[in-house]
Amino acid sequence: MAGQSHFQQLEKLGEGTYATVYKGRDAYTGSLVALKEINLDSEEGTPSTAIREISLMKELKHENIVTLYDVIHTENKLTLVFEHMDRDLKKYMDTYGNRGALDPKIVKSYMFQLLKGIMFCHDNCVLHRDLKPQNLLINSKGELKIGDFGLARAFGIPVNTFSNEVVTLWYRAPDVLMGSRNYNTSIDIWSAGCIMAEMFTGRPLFPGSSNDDQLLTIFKIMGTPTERTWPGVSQLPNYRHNFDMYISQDLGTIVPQVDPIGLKLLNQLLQMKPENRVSARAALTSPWFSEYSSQLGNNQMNNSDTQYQNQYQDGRGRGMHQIA
Amino acid sequence: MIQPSSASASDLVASTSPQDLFKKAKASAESKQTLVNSLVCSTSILLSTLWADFDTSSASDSLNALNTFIISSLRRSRSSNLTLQVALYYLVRLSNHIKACILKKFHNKHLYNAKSKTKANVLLCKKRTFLTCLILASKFVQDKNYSMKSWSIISGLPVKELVHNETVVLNHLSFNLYVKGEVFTEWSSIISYFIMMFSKSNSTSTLIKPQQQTSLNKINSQWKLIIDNLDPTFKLSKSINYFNLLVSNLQNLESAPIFIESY
Repeated sequence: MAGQSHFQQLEKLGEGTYATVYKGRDAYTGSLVALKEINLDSEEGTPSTAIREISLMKELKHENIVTLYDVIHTENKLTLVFEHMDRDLKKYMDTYGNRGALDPKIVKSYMFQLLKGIMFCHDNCVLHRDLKPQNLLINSKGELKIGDFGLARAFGIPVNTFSNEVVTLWYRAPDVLMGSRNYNTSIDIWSAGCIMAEMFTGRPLFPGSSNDDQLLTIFKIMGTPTERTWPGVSQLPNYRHNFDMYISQDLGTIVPQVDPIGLKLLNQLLQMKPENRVSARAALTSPWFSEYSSQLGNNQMNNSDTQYQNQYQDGRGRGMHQIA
Repeated sequence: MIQPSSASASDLVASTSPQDLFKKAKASAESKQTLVNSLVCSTSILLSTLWADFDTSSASDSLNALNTFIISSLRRSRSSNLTLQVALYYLVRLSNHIKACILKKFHNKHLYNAKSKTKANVLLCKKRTFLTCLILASKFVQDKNYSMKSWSIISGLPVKELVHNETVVLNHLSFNLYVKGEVFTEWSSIISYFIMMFSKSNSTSTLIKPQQQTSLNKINSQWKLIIDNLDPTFKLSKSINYFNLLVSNLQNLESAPIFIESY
């Protein structure tokens, strides 16, 4: 953790809710980096978003997750030094897509890499909770890496007070929109499904304008859930018995660019009922990815960390009562 | 075949699942109040052990003062059991830094005998360090958090100092606040073990009596062993081995119960 910065600040790359990102150059090696600057509020100290992002990203070292090189802590500023990526997926689609739509070969490669990154997070008991094209970074080598862990959290330790104000609206799962706080890894899988459809069509799949409108936008395509299609849905806090009723449509007509095998995967990712959504690990074994299957080392796929997920589900809420 | 009517101590530990251990600890603690008392007393002794100022001849007074502070911090901040356990884990991770800090202070005193004008390091004060770890644990574990202004009201320390302390502790922890699920589970079972040691009595108060000194010394030495057995990466693995040994000796504890009597 260096006190003195040897990074030269170049042009501004973007501005987030709590940080500004600049392109930077390492004065010693000449290599490019991304500098995420977080202003420290003298009244609030280090924001919890920064605390989570740093401590989680220090643990998550994977080829499909942006690397955190260093943290520079000065009195009123915290600078995170990340590996430099050329652009985010949103900008990539806008620049290189055919009206935003990407070539199906590229979609498949990016989905494969995205799911590998998600699997690694979930295996390490981390929920990203804000997957969207703007948070996926691309470089000229065709690599995709997950970035921005400001909303992420660890779930290895039992917690029952998840916030439902997570994930940018368009990529937010229906159970979360209906107020569920017991979500788990399936929250990231829904976002991955939305991103897959968007890469094929060039347009967001569910562009809602408010919480309620987002739900209706989803229902219009996926069908309005009922106790029959989703047992327990009526117990969710924001469920209403007078939701407009829609029947589900064939995703293949909404995303005509996708082939039948890819469509099957898309349907597995975009399941309304969270328990029915496929895991990242299982999604990677889809025949749609058969050409990449050699890239999945046995050690990667056999390493069964799922026990912790089960434990988390069994022990939900354990020991959460207020003490003293 | 006749089933034994009650679980013996060895049965307690035969089930290695930490969740079970915590449930057993909870059950043996009889009431929530006893559980809290045991947790608070364990925390106090851990703090005294970390700062190496545990008094082996008359610990009760200083521990009682510490208990009062811990209870009020937890109660006012409405901290959960989980947040406290994570905070205690950060404290243990800080153990080497605390040792170094105390050593440095000792040297400065003897070498220069000068009154240092620089700000006293937060790590020299166990209450401040505990509070900072509690704030950091809340920030890491909870989606919704108190503002520093609220923490200032909770603790009576000015916001500016709280922010400064947070920065110092964060840097000592190298921003490593992530607790792996498996490590946390093990840590949780270590804490459960200490809870069980305390809750052998049907206590309704956190007041520690002087006649408990022998038992307190025992707990102090066991915390000390756990801290000393931390491996350099603070992954607890060596401590866990030691801890398993401790638990297998739990049987012996029944002959040395701890009594925390009511007022």
